Amino acid sequence: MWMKHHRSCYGGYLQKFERGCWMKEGGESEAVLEVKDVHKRFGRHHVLKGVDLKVNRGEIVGITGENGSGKSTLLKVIVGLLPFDRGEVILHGTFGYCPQNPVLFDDLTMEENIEYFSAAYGIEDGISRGNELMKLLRCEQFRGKPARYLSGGTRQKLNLIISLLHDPDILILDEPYQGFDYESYLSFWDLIGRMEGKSVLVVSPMVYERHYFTKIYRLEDGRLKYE
Amino acid sequence: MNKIQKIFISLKMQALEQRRRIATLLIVFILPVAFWASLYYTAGDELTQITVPTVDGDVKMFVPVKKSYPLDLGLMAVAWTMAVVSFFSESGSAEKDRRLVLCGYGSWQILLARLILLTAVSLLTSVIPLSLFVPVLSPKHPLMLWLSLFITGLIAMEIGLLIGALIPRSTEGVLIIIAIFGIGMSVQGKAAELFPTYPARQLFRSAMFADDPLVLPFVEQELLILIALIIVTLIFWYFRIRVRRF
Repeated sequence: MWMKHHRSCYGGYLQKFERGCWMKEGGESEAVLEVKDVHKRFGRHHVLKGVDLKVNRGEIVGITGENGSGKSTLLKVIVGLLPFDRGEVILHGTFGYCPQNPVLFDDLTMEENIEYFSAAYGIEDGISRGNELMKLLRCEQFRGKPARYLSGGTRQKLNLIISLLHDPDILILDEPYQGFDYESYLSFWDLIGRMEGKSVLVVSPMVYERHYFTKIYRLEDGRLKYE
Repeated sequence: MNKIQKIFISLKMQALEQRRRIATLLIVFILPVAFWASLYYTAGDELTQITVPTVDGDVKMFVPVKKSYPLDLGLMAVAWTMAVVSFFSESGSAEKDRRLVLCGYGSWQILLARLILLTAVSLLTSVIPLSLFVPVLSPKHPLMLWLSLFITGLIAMEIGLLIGALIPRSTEGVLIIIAIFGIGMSVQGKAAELFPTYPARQLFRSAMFADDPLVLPFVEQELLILIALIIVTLIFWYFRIRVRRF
């Protein structure tokens, strides 16, 4: 099913920043992403059995779960890479998606990859934004190197930069810091911290530092459980 | 950024990717010549009878073996190499192209850029063998000979792209390409007419041996085949890399 998706823009709301997220006038949180009763099967394997999720503006939401529990499937369903069988996904605003395995053009340099994906987003100043992000993630010295010669961690950084180029309203990250050294891990959270008013949905089998997150869910038996 | 700019950037990036695969391109350019030369310089001087299409109808002619089969082999090599390069350029980048589509590219924009780039490669692939065929074989109509090589490359390119859009695994894809062009060049009679490079092959023979070569019907047929293949490829490619749009 490739239907039942909506997109809306922010409009007309009076907003204020409260308790780590943006609130509508009257105290109700402003949802950026809503997932309602989403089901997904692969043949007989029922991976998602009615997932409900709401990510409000300004929130950093974590999803954990065992390997094969369906975390990546859920993200692919949310961003539109996979069709689903039942339910609804509503996205208010733009999203950036960082897949688990870096999807990059190996024969292009970091900078060329950035230019190519900037064109995809339709942004003119993608390279300067990319340079800024490369500096923040401490990998600007590799900008002229083809992606195939980058280390696993640097490839992952480029993967992340691509998802951030257009300054999305919600960043959807599938195990974003795998392969990072500790300094890069800290840079990653520093970068996330700078994204004021933006939402982040992070999937990772293990969540080490819970204080970074507004909410953490566990995907178990095809459903999300609040931790 | 408008749609044309996006196509231009995709073309530039795909060209940059190819530039860094210089060994692959060299093989593409050399292989047809190598196939032809390997048979040409080992074949005898005996004559063989072939059918040559002319403006006045098919004419049976006796020509030296070394002027006939080696050329067929060279033509087949042009088809193989162009199809394989096109197949890998499509199949190998499916996942990355899907990410581009997710980020905002249209699948048709990426495919159009690829078509432009591969047409340029096909042009070079046709010119390099021609630069040897003309002085060594003295064809009757060198320009028509080039046209047949170029058209063969274009049709092969489109078949490679179509198989790349349809078959996700590279081994199966390459084997199918080998089968299509291998059988297409081997079969004779009415069965040969079923293969998409048949009109180009006829044009090739006509340009090589006929005083009044038959050109237009073959070019028209190949153009129709090319357009049909592009449309079918675009449809399959769209479904292969589609994403849900919000």
